[in-house]
Amino acid sequence: MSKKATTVNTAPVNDDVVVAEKFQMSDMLHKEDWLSIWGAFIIIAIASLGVITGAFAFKAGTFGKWGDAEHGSVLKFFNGSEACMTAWGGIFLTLVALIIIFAVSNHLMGKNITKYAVAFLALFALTCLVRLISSQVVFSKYLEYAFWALILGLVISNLLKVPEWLKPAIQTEFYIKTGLVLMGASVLFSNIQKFGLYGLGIAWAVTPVVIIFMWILGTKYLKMENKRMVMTIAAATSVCGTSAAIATAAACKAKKTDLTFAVGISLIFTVLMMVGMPLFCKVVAIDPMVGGAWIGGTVDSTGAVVLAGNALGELAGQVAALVKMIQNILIGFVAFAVAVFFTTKVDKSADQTVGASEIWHRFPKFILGFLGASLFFSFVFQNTIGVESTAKILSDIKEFQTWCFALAFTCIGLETNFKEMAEQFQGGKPFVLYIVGQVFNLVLTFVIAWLLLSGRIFPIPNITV
Amino acid sequence: MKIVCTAGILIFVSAIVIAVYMMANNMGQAPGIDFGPGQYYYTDIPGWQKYFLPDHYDNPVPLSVLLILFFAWGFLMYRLWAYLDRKLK
Repeated sequence: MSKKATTVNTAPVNDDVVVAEKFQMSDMLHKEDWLSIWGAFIIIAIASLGVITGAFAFKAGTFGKWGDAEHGSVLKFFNGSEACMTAWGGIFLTLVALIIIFAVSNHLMGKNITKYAVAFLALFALTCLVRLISSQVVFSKYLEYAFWALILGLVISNLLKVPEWLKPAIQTEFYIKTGLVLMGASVLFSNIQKFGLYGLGIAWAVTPVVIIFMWILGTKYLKMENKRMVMTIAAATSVCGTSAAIATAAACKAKKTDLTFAVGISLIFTVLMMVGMPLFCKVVAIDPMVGGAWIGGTVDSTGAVVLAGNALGELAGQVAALVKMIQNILIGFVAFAVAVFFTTKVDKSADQTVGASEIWHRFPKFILGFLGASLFFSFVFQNTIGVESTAKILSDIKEFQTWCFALAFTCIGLETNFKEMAEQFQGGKPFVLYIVGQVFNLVLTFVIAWLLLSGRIFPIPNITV
Repeated sequence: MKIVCTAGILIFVSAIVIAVYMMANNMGQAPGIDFGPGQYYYTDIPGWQKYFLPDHYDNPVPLSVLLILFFAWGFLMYRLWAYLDRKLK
């Protein structure tokens, strides 16, 4: 997600494309992709040590919910109460941990550490405001940090002016990559067994077909020039919304506005589908198991899937969660495939042959960290320290991941202007792409769910609730 | 194409209006569940272990078979994607 331009093998490339320089071993200590991996691995290692030894808990702080009679007013975070001290204490420790990791990384990248640290403090303060707003009871259920970070950033950058001294900390890609490597740990590949062939059939048979359909629709029929936006919207629609959009945008080096658009449209339609799909299933009397699988395979956000599934009944809720869990696994593999596809097919000139070494040079290395964390937690940690301890570690590092993404979305807002966003609308083509793609996704997922779970062809699986 | 794009914009604007209405009226909530679309990823859900850790299905298919199918389908789809992208102009 950058606008720098450079060339490879003397072939000119698009202005929006970043192509890596030839790989050197020293890159592992000085390049952003590698530093994001090491930074995330340090957080994972400390959190794991805390859980395994039981000596301490290394987890990021956050605000509790506020805004109704049960949770109290926002003033509870400013009145010296226990909730106030707990929230700010945890957030201060989060700031210390993140500023050390990011400032040292910036130093290794050859940037001014003092200027970065000052700017980061201000960026973190803005992100605190984002997280405070998104902790409001209603906002936390429906929109959360990505929406509010974009809104706050856009307001500042378009109504005021982003000061020069703040710019050293605006490093969207770095925060996203670090957050994604942290997320990799929670992509437990062993979960593929949770719903056997049924889950694999519904989640994995449909997803790549929808991606290919939307790619062809966007690039060949709608003739959208911005292929990275097509890819980001396709991943958000077919895999799992915001999380998949973040990973895919980073993998294909999409523009920030591409990610903003994909996340925005996904959030809006998720609310509609979360409310509408259970109602539709009830009205036309769709079997709860088929309905749950349909919801799990199509509704973008995981929280909305569980909620919509449970609105249809306990069994539907469980099936929806099982299908969505398998879709969550796909994030890393889809991002990997997208990175390879863009490296070998899109970001090369017509007469250029891209060999294995060139793929390695251009490949976004942070994806290796993502997959490495996923494989390690799936096949090493779970089998050695147990499922419960693994889950505890994932819970501890999850909030760091959220802070990284919240920092990234605040940066995106600060770097985006409305004129640039308007140019990306391309006469409304991205809307058509999303709507037609989502309709195709709905139809195909329903057909597969019905074939597998209706009992007409295959035996109905025995799900315990 | 212009009509299709205009229809797309109209649907999107309508979707925003309906979504805001739904959020303002706290629609789609279920008793006992204190989260929603704002929890993008499964570990974002408060108490996610309750929903995702227990085994609710006794899977008779070995992991190795599932992995082979997973990678075989992924490989096939990747090749199809590359083929269609090259063939369709």
